[in-house]
Amino acid sequence: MATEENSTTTIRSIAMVCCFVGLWAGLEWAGWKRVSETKDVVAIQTKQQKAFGGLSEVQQYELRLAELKSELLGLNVSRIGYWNNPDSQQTLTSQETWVYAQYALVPIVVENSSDFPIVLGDFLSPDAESAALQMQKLELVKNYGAGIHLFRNPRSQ
Amino acid sequence: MIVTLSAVVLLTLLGMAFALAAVPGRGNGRLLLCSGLAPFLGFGLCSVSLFLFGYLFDGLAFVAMSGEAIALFCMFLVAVWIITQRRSDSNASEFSLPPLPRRKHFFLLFACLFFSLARFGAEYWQSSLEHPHGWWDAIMIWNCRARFWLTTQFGFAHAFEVDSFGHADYPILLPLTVARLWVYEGVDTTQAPKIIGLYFGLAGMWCLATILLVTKGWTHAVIGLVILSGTPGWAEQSAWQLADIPLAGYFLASLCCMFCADRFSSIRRELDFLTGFMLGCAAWTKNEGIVFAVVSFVAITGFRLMRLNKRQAEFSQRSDLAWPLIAGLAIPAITLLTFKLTIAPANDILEGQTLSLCAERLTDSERWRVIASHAVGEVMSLRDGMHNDLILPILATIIAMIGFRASRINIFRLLPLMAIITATTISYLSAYLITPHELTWHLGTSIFRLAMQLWPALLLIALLTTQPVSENEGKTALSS
Repeated sequence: MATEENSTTTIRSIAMVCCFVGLWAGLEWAGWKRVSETKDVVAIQTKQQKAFGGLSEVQQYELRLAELKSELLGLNVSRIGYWNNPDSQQTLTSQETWVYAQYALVPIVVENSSDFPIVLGDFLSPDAESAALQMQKLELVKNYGAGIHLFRNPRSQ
Repeated sequence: MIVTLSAVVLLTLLGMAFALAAVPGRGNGRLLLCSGLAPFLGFGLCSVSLFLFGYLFDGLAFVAMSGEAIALFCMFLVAVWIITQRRSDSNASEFSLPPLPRRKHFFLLFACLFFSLARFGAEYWQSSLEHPHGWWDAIMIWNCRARFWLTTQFGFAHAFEVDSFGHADYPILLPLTVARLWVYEGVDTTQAPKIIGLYFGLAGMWCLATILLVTKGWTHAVIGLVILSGTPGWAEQSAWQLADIPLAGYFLASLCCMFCADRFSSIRRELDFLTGFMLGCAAWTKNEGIVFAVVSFVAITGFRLMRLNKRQAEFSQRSDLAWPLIAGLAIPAITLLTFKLTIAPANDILEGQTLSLCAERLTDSERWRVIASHAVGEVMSLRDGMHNDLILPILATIIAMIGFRASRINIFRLLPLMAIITATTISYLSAYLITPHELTWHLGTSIFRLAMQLWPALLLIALLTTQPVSENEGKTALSS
């Protein structure tokens, strides 16, 4: 009786392990299938990255905003507004550009609104830049290049 | 990078010292159990201490960091003193480990483990390359918050003055941990948050393996490790540098301490204290942790009250039901309350809500249908994208359990843990019902992460319901 019970337990354990290994192989296959569908992993780039020499969005914003950040911190400015004038050429949404700008400008708080005395203008295409400047919505203080402008909002003093 | 790795090792050793001081006993089983809890204990305690010093000194300047380092060193000395005192206790309980099984098929499980860990490494590496600064929420919330504390120009609370969307009310265990490493390095490297992400991913796996090894044996431990490390999304989300994987680890560590407190009743008070501390740290990690902590506290005390008559000998007074739990919860809870009441803005889900709005959303059948379809899709989907493909590890778990015998005693003992996970899941789904955000967007950007928070705990409970494969594997008992 004890021998039969041991045999049953052994067979059951072996069957369990075989099923488990088989199912696990299926899991690994599903996982690798998903991984392999991403072509050329190391060279993944977005359109924005290609336009900026292969840098990530964060690195692009850090480069574009470095001079502005240094000047604002020197003036002890802790909070500014944000204005993005998106057009059809812009591949990032306004919220995405705002998040990248905030990350690059930390410890300066960047609010996603132009109702602040100092406003960062972030234009990712020449058309958007010229359209924004023509709006004369805000007073231009300085053009830092690469679509970065510093504005003054006279209505928010 | 050397500074970051050294700091991580030191914080882990600190956690190990605290765990060994908190858990009395002797033997390899105790060492292993403490090693599973050490990462969460160390990083939780250090995050709490850094917040207190940063809050008091209004930033992470040299004075605050030095003071905090001295305080931690003093606590470490106290922990070492307690350990040496415990070593001289001849009545201490013995934790032994089961012997390695000598079965022909066991090498197959180790082969599965090898490939599973290799897969984890490959998926982590790929995801890390795709997201060098972390996934979206890491840039918008976690690492962004940490960056504010690299300078002391505008004060500690300045990091929470963002009115625009950024979840400024989220607790800050993870940002403080990243900020600590950045301050030590002197610059905000991309390696520090990557190492933290990988660390918590590995720590969660190790915690699961140690608790299963100590309570069930080698077979359970290896199977648990294989399934968790091979779960699609576990490695990926570890590389995303979010707080969901650390939170999953704290959920797991809390349940481990709860289960051990029930199983090893002679050291129940000490394990209750650790349970309370882990629950507090879960609450200190993310808002979902607050829900988990409240639900767990109610479940533990409720179930103990129900069983009080049968287990009178364990509780000399009714206050023993809960006071060690409350004692452990106290420090992180006070820290969290200080943060929420004095610094953090209102929560985006609760802000502006009224009873009538909530009632309207709760009675909207279309919302129930959308949430249910997303929840089912999260489990059943094998498509690419924001899904964890949980159906396969779930099936693997069920198949693995077929070879084990269920235990009525274990199931009864695990009722509180099952109730906690069920109540937490219901709370998560309820948050979607009342959310002011666009429902499909909210589900699509978060449900896969909430599922991963709960998955390790579910896996643990599933494997704990079963008996060990053979008598020898169950011999990790506590003997005194």
